[in-house]
Amino acid sequence: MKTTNENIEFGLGDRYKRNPFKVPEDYFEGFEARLNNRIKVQQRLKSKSLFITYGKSIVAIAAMLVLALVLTTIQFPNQFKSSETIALAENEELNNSIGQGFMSNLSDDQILAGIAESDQMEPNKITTDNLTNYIADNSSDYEIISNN
Amino acid sequence: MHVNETDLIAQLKGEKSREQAFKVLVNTYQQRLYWHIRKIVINHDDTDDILQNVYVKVWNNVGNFREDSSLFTWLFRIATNESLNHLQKQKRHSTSSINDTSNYLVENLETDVYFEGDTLEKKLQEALIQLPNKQRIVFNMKYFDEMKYEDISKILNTSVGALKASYHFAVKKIEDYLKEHQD
Repeated sequence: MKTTNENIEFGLGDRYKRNPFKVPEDYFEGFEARLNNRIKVQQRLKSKSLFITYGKSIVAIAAMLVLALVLTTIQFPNQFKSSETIALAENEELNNSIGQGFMSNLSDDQILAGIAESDQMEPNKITTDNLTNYIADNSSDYEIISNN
Repeated sequence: MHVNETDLIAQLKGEKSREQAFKVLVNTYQQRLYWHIRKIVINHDDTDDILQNVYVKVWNNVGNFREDSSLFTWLFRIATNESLNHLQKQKRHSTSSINDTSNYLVENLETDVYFEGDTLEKKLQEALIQLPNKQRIVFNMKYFDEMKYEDISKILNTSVGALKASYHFAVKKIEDYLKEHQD
């Protein structure tokens, strides 16, 4: 094996310096065109991806706003009841004229007697369901809200 | 084709002259880059893919080229890194744990329809494949491309001394392999 100052010559010399690899016909001639196509496709994909990225951001912000709205509704339900009902409930003059609803002016015995009469039942056999139904039939939303 | 690198870089960075300059860049260096990559990854289709990636990277990043090296060095550095990244990906996809890259490259060599070497040339390629990737690249650039150690040093960012040692060991290993696998 020869040695020189610059490098160590491989024992086989130039025997193996021949390039054993080949390329398909006209490969280099067509390379530039294929490369240009690839660059164009990449630029188109880049524009598309920017559009999708911005679109996703907008959707994400909208979703967050909806979620915030839903959470606020759950936490503060009274904020979203009918404005008319709330206005009526808060109206002091109306409260006074109706007398805060007729239910509050009746005694428990009177209420039970009313239920028994309407359902043709004995007062001592009135169930919770009977009572609930009686109140629902004989009170307005206003009266229920204002009593809460 | 003799190309003035300084002018070419200036044209590549110019908006109006960029496309024409890029054409010149492709035509000037495509073959040298191709063979550099091919000797690393063996397979033609992989080489084609990597070569295109290299030029796409150049197209996208030439504006950021700091010119602290020559254009040639920069191109070869990108090509080398892309080739090594490709081999790393193949290693990750491989199910075997030992000599993953070697098995992949030997398979490429066996199935490559564009390999027209004789038995001894094939044995040499097999010997090269057994080397660590970077050592193989040093051998290719020194033995086949006959590049100066100083130029190899700039591309691989390795000292001349380390390159000489690497080449020396590569030669030794190849000789041993060929002796061992003599017919």
